[in-house]
Amino acid sequence: MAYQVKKEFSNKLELTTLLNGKRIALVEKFDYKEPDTAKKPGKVVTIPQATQAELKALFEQGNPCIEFIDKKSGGSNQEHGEQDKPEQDKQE
Amino acid sequence: MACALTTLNSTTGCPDNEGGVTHSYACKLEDISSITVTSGVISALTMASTGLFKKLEYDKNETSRFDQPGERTNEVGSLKYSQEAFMHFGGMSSTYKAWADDAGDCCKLVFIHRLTNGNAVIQGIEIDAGASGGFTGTKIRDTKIVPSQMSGTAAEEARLEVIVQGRSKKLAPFTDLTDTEIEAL
Repeated sequence: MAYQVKKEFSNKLELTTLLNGKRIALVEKFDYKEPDTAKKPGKVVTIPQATQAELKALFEQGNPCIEFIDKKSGGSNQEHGEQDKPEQDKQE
Repeated sequence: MACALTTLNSTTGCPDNEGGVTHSYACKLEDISSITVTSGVISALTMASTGLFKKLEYDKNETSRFDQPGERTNEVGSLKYSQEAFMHFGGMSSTYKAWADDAGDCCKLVFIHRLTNGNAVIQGIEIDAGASGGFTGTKIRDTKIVPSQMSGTAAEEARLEVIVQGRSKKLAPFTDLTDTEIEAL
């Protein structure tokens, strides 16, 4: 079982969102050069790739970019939504 | 959305009715990949990359606004809203010209307006659970800017005025994203 970015969004290699105030990359990690400001020069920051736990949290929040793949049952996809949660999550 | 009525009351609790907009953030519609909606409010945005929202800080001279007057086609037909924001940047410079020329070339824009009462509303998108990413641009007319650069006379103020216009089927959605979160996207 895995959470992943839907195919329609997976070609956006720098797909980014915030989770609990943390900036995360959904497809793969990437470097970003922050713009210079009047007070300080910009620096290069690495946006980390989201973990499975973070993708799961986004899925449960209803992020339309994330889907759940049940590889055991032949890879049937599930959209986000309360009734679509995996069985183990419903018991939580 | 199905027809429904609930109670609505502005006479208790003293709602903050201060008008105006203090600042805005802008990006292209294509920069947003998806929205997450919680109880009708946009609680998260997924962007095509990071650093795409640009902060717009205009003069606090009591002219900035974001209005959405509604109208019905032939008075009883479909409902639509003409969304319009106004921003006033004092001065006249090549920097303003370059910004206006570049932003003026954009066909579909999105603005997050921070209202004076602290709430934030998003001009340029409509929530649509059936659309890719859970949203569309403004459905009736795309959201674009109309910049005007004016030197004025010696008795007036030189300024760049920016009007942001679009037409939507629904009122602009609110977001609970803070400025810190928008700037971190």
